[in-house]
Amino acid sequence: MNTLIFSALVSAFLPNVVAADTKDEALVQLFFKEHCVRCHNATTKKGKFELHDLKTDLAGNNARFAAILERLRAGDMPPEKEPQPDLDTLKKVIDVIQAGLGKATSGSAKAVEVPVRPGDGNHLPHSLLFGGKPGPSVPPPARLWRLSPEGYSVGLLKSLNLGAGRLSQPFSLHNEPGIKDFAALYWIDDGGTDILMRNAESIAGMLLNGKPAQTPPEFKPLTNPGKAPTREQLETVIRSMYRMVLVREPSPEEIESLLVLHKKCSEAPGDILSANRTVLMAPLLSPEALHRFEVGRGAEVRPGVRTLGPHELAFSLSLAFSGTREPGLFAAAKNGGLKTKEDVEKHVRRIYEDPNLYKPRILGFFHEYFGYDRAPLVCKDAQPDYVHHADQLVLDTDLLVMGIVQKDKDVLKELLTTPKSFVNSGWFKRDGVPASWNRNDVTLHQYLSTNLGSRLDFYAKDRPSSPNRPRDKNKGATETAYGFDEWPQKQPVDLPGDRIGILMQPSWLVAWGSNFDNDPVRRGLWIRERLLGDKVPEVPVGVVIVLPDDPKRTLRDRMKVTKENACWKCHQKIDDLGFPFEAFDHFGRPRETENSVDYKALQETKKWVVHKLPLDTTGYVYASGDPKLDGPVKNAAEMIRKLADSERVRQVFVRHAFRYFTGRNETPGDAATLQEADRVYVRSGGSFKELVVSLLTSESFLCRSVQTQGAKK
Amino acid sequence: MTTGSNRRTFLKGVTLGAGAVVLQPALQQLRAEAEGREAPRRIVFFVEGNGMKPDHVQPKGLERKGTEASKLTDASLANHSLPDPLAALAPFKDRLSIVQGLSHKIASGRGHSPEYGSLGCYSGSAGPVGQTIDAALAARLSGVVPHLGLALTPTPDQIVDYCISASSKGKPLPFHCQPELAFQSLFGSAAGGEAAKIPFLRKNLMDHMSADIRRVQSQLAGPERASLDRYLEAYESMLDRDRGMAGMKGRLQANMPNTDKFKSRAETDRLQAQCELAASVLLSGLTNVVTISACAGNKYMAWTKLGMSLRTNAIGHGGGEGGKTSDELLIEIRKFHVECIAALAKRLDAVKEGSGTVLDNTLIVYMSDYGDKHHPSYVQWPVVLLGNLGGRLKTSGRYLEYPRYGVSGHKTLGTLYHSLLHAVGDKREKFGNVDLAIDKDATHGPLSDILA
Repeated sequence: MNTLIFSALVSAFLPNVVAADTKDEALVQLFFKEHCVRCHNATTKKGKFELHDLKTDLAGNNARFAAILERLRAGDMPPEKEPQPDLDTLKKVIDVIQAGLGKATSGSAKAVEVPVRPGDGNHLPHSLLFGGKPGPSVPPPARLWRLSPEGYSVGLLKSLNLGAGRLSQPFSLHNEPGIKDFAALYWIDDGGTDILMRNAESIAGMLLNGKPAQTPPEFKPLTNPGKAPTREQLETVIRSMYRMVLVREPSPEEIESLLVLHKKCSEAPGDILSANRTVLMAPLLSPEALHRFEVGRGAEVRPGVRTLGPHELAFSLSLAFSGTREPGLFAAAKNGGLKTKEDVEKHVRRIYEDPNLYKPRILGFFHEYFGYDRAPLVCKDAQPDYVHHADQLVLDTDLLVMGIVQKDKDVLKELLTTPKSFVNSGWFKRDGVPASWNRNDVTLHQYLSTNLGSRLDFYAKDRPSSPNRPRDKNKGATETAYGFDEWPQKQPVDLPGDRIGILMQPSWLVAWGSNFDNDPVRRGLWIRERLLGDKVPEVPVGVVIVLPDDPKRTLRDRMKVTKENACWKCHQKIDDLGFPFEAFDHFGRPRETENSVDYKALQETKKWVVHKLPLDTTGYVYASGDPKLDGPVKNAAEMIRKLADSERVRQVFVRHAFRYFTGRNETPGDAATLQEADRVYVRSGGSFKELVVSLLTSESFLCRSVQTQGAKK
Repeated sequence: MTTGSNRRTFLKGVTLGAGAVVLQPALQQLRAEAEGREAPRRIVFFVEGNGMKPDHVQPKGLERKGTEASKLTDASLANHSLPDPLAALAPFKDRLSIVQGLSHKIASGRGHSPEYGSLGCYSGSAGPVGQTIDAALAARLSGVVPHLGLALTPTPDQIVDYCISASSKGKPLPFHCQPELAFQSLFGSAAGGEAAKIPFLRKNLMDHMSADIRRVQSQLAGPERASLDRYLEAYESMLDRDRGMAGMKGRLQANMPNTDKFKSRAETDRLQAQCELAASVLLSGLTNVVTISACAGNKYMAWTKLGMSLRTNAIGHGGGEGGKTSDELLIEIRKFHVECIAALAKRLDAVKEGSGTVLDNTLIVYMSDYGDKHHPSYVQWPVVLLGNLGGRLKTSGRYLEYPRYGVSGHKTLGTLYHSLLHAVGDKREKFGNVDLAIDKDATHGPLSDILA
């Protein structure tokens, strides 16, 4: 597993070992001996976890104690088949560890391994972050974050004012569900470098092509093939390039090295024009132009901790909201108005509140958190009774999300429980003009990815958005996915039945289904990971679960194969969270029965045979980590309402927002930031804006731990 | 002894000093012999997207047992003609093997391609988590360009694609999408004229960038520093590559491709151009392993030049048009792919090498990145093999169908990959992940039926 080791830098100023008192220590040790060590020792090491050597030095072992606390509190350890502790003892042990951990997190920072992939962030036990009073904030070390595709195309390229938007994109983000722009996942490789060099060559060509619209006046002396530019002329051009590309002045050393490059390239077989072009290419390929550099060039906050410098902040805050370089931030950085936390807060609020500033990363967070925007990636066969428009479903949910974010009250709870929905009504404008694309040819996903620099505004239409009221009148249109026979004019509208929130939107149900059927495992996993903050191990290599092919049994019934011992250990945490969504088919349409096509009968009789099977939409929340949540639920709405009221679910949401805006997984040193962000969110009545302000003004975002002189050796 | 020694000395002298004659693979082979080396072995993967129906590659007159197959069928192709989609390979029938019945459940995933998992033997939803077979073979058969990826993508404007090949965990290999740009990059230094300046300028610029990156690196530590290492490595490997190519100018000039179709935006022209480029690159010795991706990795082409308006996704889902069924349209596309492969094979076969031709020392692997259909079963993964890699494979004119999944004697695609590794001298014990749901014999290679 790729991990970052957190954080040797700070251990120097963190105090004392925290230990439980002797009586408590004896109790915990006895508990471990009776219930844990037989499986979790150095030899058997079940679940790759051992605690035979674990003393009650909580500071020294806080991660392991936090993991134990999670499991004891969730109730899935000790396993059911093993002797169970009596409840009083269990409660006492939990209390001892909780209390010790509270002290330990405020006073310790032994290295904790933090996985670097966004999907693995939940490996860090929740109680290590929210289990007690947080320890001192420990900002990350100097960071380097390769630009996002948008940061390159609408940030760097647009700053050149060349209409260079058509150049190739050297960068991409992974296409897996979840948070995409994570610093540790990306670097510039051979293929990307090749494209960057070609792009730099094209840009240099545009700048020197002599056309008045593209060639700035100071570049003119470099367009003459018969005359070498003077040193002064070259210096002027180099300064100009640095201002455009890096938004700063070049150092004397940088100027000198480019002049040397020019001289070398002027010699045969090169020539003056080639040398001029090559010098312009260099700043475009500079690592500083292609990465977010967050080294900590600002003021010292305390020994070993520095803030980002104004220039670093201008880039980081710009990229927190979009790919573009926000002019107000760069102006403030230049004029001394972007130094303090208060300065940052002022600008974050200004950007967030200005409706004219484009902030695609706000909606982007909800895309990556909920994943409903992936519906068009789930390919569906043509249906005899329904026309499926996945893009439309996404637009409807986008509009719903934007409305809730705009009201900014109890945002998470509203997203999970609102009865309202847009129905075949959401649409968007691209650069102020209603967008149009051929949906038979290009998905919304593809369309948006080729319009990275565009400004997109979502709006509701007063007539059905999808043009395809099907030619075949016997086919249902998009509104049937929402349970309507006719398109409802008044929007947003309460959906029929007790249908609430994003998780019951057709877009989400399609995105977390499969090509041909529902997928309770994917849906259950989503809830387990994104709401409960748990992590279920990957399917072991080589394990292929094949469901019995029996058209007379429901999917739920056929999925009983997961109840075999080896599977059930994990599936008991997943499947029952996904089964309540069996109230819908895999297009998200509500249903009373599971209609199962008998393909064998079809083959034999050449007639459609459909078995109408009774539905069971009950579920069960197991070992959630929040005892109030655990237990049976009648249906999806009941389960979601329970989850929406949970403190843990809210905190997990805050953890995901943290990952999205910082581009990394949280460490124990971020506990203070996370707890403060959660507090602000609650205090503000569930304001997403306040949550964002809190995260972007936190030490985790603004500061870097730097090596002190003593530590350097 | 004396004669042999003289011949060796003579050949060394000829090849070192004789300009144009050094360019021909036949003489390169003589030189290799003189130095006690074998002719290079070359491998081409031609990987098409959206599945390959087993019936489309089934020889006429031979029954495919499919789900009824309980024992290995090993038949000669001599008395059977090739199916219509493979008709263009008829001149090479005696050098062809059609392999049916391999499974590849280890690569199961979502969408319409397991992407890296197909050539890598791991889950299709895992991303590039390990080395793929083409990269593993490239590591063994390395050239100045260790591996060359050439792709046909739906959009002609796309320059580079990452989809099916990876050199190691987290390091996907790039695929050139535009033949003209790939040509400039690979043959530019030999093309003469203005293009001759390019290597010189690139070298100066890359030297400058390397120094710039090192300067910035000094401010960082840990993973952040490692990230810049990768950027630095990119420049250094490009410099190495350029240095290697500079030393091959003559061979590059002698094997220039026909660039007539290199700037075309038509999808058929682009694929033909990529195959033309692949042949030239192999003949010049720039690389020994090429992977050609024909819309592999979740890409859906509208083959307008073949008279289709539907994209392959719609066709894969049963769509037909112009009076043709989905199956008939897929056959049209497959026929075209096979014509491209045949043209590539013909060019390699036209050049003498040792006692045979370059094709004799080559293996072309034709397959889909998604098994038997648009939404595959994973238990049928047809593969067509052309060439025997200089006699290291028993692939001359054979039809093999392995017993069905789960039955004794069944084999996975991974065992075929494993065989290829053994054929080039990489004797590792296994390749990629194995399907633990079936018997160990089914998942462990190499295949004695194929490895010579």
